[in-house]
Amino acid sequence: MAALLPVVTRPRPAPERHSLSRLVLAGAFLLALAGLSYGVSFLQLGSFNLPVALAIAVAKALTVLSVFMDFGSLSASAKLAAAAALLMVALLVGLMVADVATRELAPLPAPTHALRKDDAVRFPFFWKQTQRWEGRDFEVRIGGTR
Amino acid sequence: MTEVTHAAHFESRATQAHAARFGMWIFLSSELLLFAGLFALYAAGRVAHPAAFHEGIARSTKTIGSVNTAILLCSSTSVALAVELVKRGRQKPSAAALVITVLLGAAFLALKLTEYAEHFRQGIFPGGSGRFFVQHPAQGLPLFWTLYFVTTGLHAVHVTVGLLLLSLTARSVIKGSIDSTRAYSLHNAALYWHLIDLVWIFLWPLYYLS
Repeated sequence: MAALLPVVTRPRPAPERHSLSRLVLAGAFLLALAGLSYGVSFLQLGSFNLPVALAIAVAKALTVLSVFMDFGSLSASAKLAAAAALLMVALLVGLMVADVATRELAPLPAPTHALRKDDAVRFPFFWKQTQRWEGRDFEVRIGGTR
Repeated sequence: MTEVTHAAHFESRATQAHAARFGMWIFLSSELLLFAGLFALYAAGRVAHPAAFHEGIARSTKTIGSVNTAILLCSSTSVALAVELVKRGRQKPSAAALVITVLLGAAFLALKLTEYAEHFRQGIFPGGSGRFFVQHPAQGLPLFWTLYFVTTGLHAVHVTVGLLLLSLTARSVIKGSIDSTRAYSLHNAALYWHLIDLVWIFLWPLYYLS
């Protein structure tokens, strides 16, 4: 009966041991990167502050993944699971940002031909130059013809 | 009588360790997707309300958040050391490294609670309620602070679960039921802790720095 069963492939041997000093060095490197990120946050880089901070965060994440989580020694199946998750995250965040960034505000006022006397039009107010909402709604009431 | 080193349904200890590791990475991937939804909401909110998000970040407790970053990075290092030490059959130093990790994790949670208390004192509550939002009616601020509380709160829940997991694992290492031949269970607990660290590595710049 055993001969009829498929051959079971053996898993990879257990991952090799890493030197303790390598782990301590990785920890020190992570702290140094965190210090760099903290320092850069005080610089006025305008729209570059966020990309720089995220680039440092990616460097830290790669260090944790490769040294502490031993990603390199994973089996192909486990790597595939992690890669699939990262792809899903990229799709989710990327498409959501693309959606919000390309939306256009509805034109105001609403179709004026549909408005009648005493109708009220409520609208918010957005300052385009400073990208700031006024924070309260305004209301215009339609009066009668003169 | 031979010592049983793996479950009956596994061919060998190596197969069991492989299955445990593979299962753990699938679990970590699902955890990543859980947080990804909140990161996506943050990205969308920031694109729609850049000024409000900048104002929110400017009011966050940067010092406490940064100290917490250093604490988590140190705890990730100590738990990685614990795994390596147990692989070398050095249970006592491994248990000590785990205890240090648990203490660091507890310090993280204590500081997080201090932060929440400070926000509540300023009248900042989830859902845009509180006197802060009456004084600062800018659109997008309630979204920023609600996302802050939900995301860091979910992260804090994970830290709590991780602390319980590491405490139980430390006890097993001290008792000798986790040794160099069964290091994979400690390795999996450590992987969970590293994921907590990874999530915070991105939360920190997004909610505290820029």
